[in-house]
Amino acid sequence: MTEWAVTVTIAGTPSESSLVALEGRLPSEDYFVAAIPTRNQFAVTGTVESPEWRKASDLVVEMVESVAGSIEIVGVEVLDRDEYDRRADEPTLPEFVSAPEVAGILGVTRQRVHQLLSKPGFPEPLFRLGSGPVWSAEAIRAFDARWDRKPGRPARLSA
Amino acid sequence: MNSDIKDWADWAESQGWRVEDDAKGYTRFHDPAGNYIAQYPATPSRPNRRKQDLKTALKKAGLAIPPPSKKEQKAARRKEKDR
Repeated sequence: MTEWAVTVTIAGTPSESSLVALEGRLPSEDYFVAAIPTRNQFAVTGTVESPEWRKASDLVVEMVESVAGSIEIVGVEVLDRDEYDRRADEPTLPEFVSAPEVAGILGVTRQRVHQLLSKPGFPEPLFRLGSGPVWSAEAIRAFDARWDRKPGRPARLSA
Repeated sequence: MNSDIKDWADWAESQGWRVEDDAKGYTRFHDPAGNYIAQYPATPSRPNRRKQDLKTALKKAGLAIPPPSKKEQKAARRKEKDR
């Protein structure tokens, strides 16, 4: 039997007391209610055991509809509970690095990092702050892996 | 407040969120605009599950979560090795 996390997303912005009351009417061990104000929605996540995801989805949707009454469901997401937990642990921001860290990753000087900025294929900074550009560490590591380095100074062009 | 979520509550507050315990011992999270997002009981019956539900809700409501620092990654690796 697999444990499934079923998240039912519902249109509307109920008050704090309504959301708390809704959570109180659901089986407390297995159901969680949260607002998503930026989307004018709220979500109910239910965790149920079932041999297959469709059955799990039906069980949770039925429970939510029976407790919440007339609602407008805008989406249902079903995830194996382990996958749901793994996603809960994912950061929402990338690892940021500035020029000194980029220099460390690439094994070059900070001055060289600023020269590389104009090199085609070098990652664009995510932000250009007052203190300097900031990159995604992942993008810099990917560049490092594919960078075809030419040792020594570049040949001087003859006029 | 349940100690399981202390780190998350501290982080949320540092990002402008309001985190308060109500009369029943639930910890309630409000975003920087003052909107209620979710609550966490003082003694949940399934703390791990409840904590993951709370984390998902806070992220969905816009709380920025940075990747763990190098120090935290090192500590996690050490913990894993000791198991």
